Amino acid sequence: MNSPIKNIAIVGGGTAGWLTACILAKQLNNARDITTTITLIESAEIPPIGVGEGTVPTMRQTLRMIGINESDFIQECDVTFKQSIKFVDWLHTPQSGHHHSYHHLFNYPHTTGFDLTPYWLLDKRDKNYAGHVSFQETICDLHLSPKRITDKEYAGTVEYAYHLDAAKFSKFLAKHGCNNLGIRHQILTIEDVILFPDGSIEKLLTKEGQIVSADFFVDCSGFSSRLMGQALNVGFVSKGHQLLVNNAIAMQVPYADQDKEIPPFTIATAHEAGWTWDIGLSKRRGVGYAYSSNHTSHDRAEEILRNYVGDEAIDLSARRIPMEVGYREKFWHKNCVAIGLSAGFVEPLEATALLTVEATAKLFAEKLPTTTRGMVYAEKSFNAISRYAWDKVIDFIKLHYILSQRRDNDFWLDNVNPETAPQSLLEKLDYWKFNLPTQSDFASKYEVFQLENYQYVLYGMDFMTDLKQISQRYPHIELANKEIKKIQQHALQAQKTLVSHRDMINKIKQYGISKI
Amino acid sequence: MTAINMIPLDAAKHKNLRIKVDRNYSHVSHQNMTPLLASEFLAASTNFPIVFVKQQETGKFKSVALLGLDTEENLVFTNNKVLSNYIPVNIRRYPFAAGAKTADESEIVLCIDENSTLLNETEGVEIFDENGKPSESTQKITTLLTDILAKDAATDIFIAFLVENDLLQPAQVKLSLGKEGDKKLNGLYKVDEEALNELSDEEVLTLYKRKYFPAIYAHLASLSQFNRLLQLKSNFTPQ
Repeated sequence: MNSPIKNIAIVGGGTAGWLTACILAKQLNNARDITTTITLIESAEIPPIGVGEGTVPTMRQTLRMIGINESDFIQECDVTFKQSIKFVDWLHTPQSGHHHSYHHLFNYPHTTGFDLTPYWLLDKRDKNYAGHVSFQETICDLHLSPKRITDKEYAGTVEYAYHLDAAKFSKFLAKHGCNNLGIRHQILTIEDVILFPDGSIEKLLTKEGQIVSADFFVDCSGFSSRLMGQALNVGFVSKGHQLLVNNAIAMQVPYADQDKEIPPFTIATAHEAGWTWDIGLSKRRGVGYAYSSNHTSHDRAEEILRNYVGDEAIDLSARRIPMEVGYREKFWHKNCVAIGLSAGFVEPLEATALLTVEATAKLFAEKLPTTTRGMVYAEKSFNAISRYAWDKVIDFIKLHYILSQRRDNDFWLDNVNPETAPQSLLEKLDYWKFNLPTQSDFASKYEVFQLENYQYVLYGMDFMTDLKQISQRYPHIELANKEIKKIQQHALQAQKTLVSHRDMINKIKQYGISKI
Repeated sequence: MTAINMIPLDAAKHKNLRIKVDRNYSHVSHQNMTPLLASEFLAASTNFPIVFVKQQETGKFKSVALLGLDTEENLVFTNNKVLSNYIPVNIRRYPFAAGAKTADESEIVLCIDENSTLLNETEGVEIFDENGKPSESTQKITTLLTDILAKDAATDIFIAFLVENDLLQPAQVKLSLGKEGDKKLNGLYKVDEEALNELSDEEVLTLYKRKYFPAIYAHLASLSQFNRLLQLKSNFTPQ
């Protein structure tokens, strides 16, 4: 059998569904010639989960690629800029008001090609790693914007991503996808999934009495995994023994003062049995506590969240979200692919939710064969890459826990128990005790977290790479000092040219951002 | 140089003031550019490069006449000389300016640079006549400023049209300064000739009817005046 793949049905109208739809439409078609029909069906009965408000810099490329105007996006989705994740209290339990913190910056440490890391390791550590290797930390600490109003869209003085309102983002993408990319949108609720004898999906029957047929189906139905999990019975590989967080409680906190400075980074603060995220959008904050229900009660978790938010939380309701950590045994099965929460989930510590959607949707657009002939290979290759990518994401998330010196709760004790850590991570950590992490430790480009991401977390959390025995390999001390001076000069220069984050968002709303 | 301080003209406070006539326009001798209206492009184009730059505060494009190649360098209005046969209205209007009046935009508030060295009580043109009414010259300047305001709005519309139709592009300007080596000028924009040539018949007609072509081609022709600035610079001795 060899028939063309010309009709794709996407199930689910959350951010995963719409982002996938837009990426596919842009990659598979061009504006004048729609060769592949893309239909997104969305249930009016099932609300999107609506969290996942953090992104990473690849989102800039993605939005530009699908043809979105950055000013429109910023205005309509309550967007703010994100330059870092600030990790607070992850290394030590806070004591008498002292809080340890470090930045995982988006600017890479050695943008000039010279790696200061070994020199920083060999030198006396008078300053934290991120501040030592990048001038972006200063920009973050001063709550400055990553770009100037004269910078064209998607360009900045430093790397940046966005914080966004997920519900508004879905609607924004839907409008763009339908108006400009030729995506068909139908409000339908699936009642039954009909399979062919070979186990692939033939059609969807809906409560409205309509039949949805397609050559290929994309499952973006969220945790319910309506096609991949329920209809095709593809199993779930739990990673709950490695990543212990399995619940979240979230609230939306309006600003008491509309002129208050907005941090241009996510704040992730560790607590007794998990951590809180704190994301400042232009109109409100999104705050939540991700925790392990095996180590604390739901009531206590809500108390932690309310204490963290303070008085502003008094009249606000909180929403509890149970989470299953892990991924599907297969991400592509026959003529179905799962993208988003239906494929897998880890706690949102490094904004992995939207990131994996972007990466998987792009990979899928690349791998989807033009006819059914290439299906077997495409499925095999896609699954191997996706599984590898998920395992590496889990390694990276676990890294944040295993380096912690907190011992204030069983949650932290269990987290540093090597039995809860992936072997692949333990091996690397052992190697890095006496050897510098290098690019070759991250050989695949499908690892979403690379050397630089590891460097910020490792050395932000006092990981010790002992280079004393091989210090003669790093003789360029003068060059290193020159680099450090340059970084300090960049920091001073940036303070002169960049305005505050809040002011910049207001300016963009008033004047827009130029395309050129 | 003292900073400019524009304040609304006050019949009581400013009644005895006079303005020295300075045909050398030395108040701009440290500015390397001045705003230029689209309606001035033709006349200006044989004197200096006309380019588009982004305003620091808003990121919005403005058209300017480039007068120097370095910060605070003016090669055209310098050393008490005027090396141009055209004086942009934004230079001519000085020390006056039109203040924004929010309630009624058709009426302007006449402002004056209180720090201008041209102001004095003995020499030059009077601002108010003996009856305390605006002098003839002040009335003329009011007319000029009203005209500038209208043409400035038209220029903004012209530029917005260029931006929306993808007709602007960054100008890569690299000048060779002999011994000093090459100099790259950043942040300048120009009309994209290729995009201009690819416009559809319908778009060409729109541009024609809006009378945008003279300004566009005057701007493109003016880019050869970079050579003139270089020429002036080679004879230029800083004070």
